[in-house]
Amino acid sequence: MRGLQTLLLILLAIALLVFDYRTTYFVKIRLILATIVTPLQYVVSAPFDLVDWMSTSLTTQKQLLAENTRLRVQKMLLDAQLQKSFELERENNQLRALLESAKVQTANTKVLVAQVLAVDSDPFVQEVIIDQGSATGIYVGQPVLDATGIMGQVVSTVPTVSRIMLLSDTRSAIPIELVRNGLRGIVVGRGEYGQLALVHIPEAADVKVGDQLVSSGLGQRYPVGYPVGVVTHTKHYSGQPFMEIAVQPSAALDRSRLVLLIWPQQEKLMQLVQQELTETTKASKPFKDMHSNE
Amino acid sequence: MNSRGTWVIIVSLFIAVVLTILPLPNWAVWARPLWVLIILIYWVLALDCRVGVGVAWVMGILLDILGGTLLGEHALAMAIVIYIVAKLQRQIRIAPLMQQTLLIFILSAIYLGIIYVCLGLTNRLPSSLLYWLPVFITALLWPWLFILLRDCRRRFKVT
Repeated sequence: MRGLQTLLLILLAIALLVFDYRTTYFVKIRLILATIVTPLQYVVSAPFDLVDWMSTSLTTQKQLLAENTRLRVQKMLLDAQLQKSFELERENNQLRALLESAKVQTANTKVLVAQVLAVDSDPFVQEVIIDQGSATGIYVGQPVLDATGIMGQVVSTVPTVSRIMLLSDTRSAIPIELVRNGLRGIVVGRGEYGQLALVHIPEAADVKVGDQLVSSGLGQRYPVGYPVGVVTHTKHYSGQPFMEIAVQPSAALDRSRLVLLIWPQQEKLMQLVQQELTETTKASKPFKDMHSNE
Repeated sequence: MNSRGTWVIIVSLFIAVVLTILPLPNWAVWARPLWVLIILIYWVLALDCRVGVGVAWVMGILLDILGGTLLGEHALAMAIVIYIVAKLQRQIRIAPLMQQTLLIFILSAIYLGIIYVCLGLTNRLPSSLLYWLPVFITALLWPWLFILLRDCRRRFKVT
């Protein structure tokens, strides 16, 4: 009797596993289930929020004054930088106009600040849950940043909360380019905080320790030009076609409590890319097969 | 059947779930004991017919939803391990605490082993050997938890 029950439950679990892995059929069911257990996550993070709240409300006046001064200095510095960036943006637009290239606005994006509600306890699922959901317009695939760089993307959302897959997740990949020489590549997660890898870079390529990596926007998911990470380590293997490159993420993946959600205005860009791709297909008949899955 | 103190079991499992999803500092994240498994094992050993494979399966699904893992991963491992415990219940119950600890070691290794196979089949293998650390932690925790839960069970007269 018990054996039969166990066997049925095991088969059911295996069936669930296969369905969940092979199809996207369960996404909706998962979201409903996730909404049901959301209060539990609130309960668990409540004591931490309380400690946070206490540490902010119980600071002395002296500390506040010191912090105020520090923040004021920081704001001034940032303002100065912002002015420079306005100037650069203007110049950039002018140059684009001169080149008569497509005017793609990279600035003027809508921004929303959200708070991290819970971090996944499973060490090899690098996901966090934030307190904003589809009710505020968040969509699956949306890029998420923190103050210092790209954090990841939204993988599922319900009206009140969303789940973010960090760059360090093994399922995550982001197209990047080297700031120094524009070399393109893909950075994937290794399943550990603070450790990414730049993959499929040939032995002869010019990559050095300390190189800055920014998003290239080529996947049309992440915006262009945001910091992704810094090369911390390169290793050559004789007889291997590719280098091993370790990358330290720019964003504080394991520390950020506030994250930024942005709405990059990339519809126009996507249309342009599609148009370009179809034109290429028409123009070069012999290579038709290459683009046939476009 | 005369059954009392269901709420004690529910509260203990709730605490186990909370401990499982409690955020931990980065250095401790691999050292989290398998709270839900160990508490389920205790109740299966103590009260043969109250807590069984069905409850274990549901708890596994709950862990999958909370943890963002594939649906059924923890449920599968939980159901198999709890079935073994239920089968060997009489023998394990009368074993001395040290032997029980050794058995918990083996059972948590089986549990993590099943999840490891699931991860392997879906191409998400953990890169670090620290994955197996909870096996040791859970086994070390067993004697203390056993005494704590036994006292709880006697005080609240859970039968």
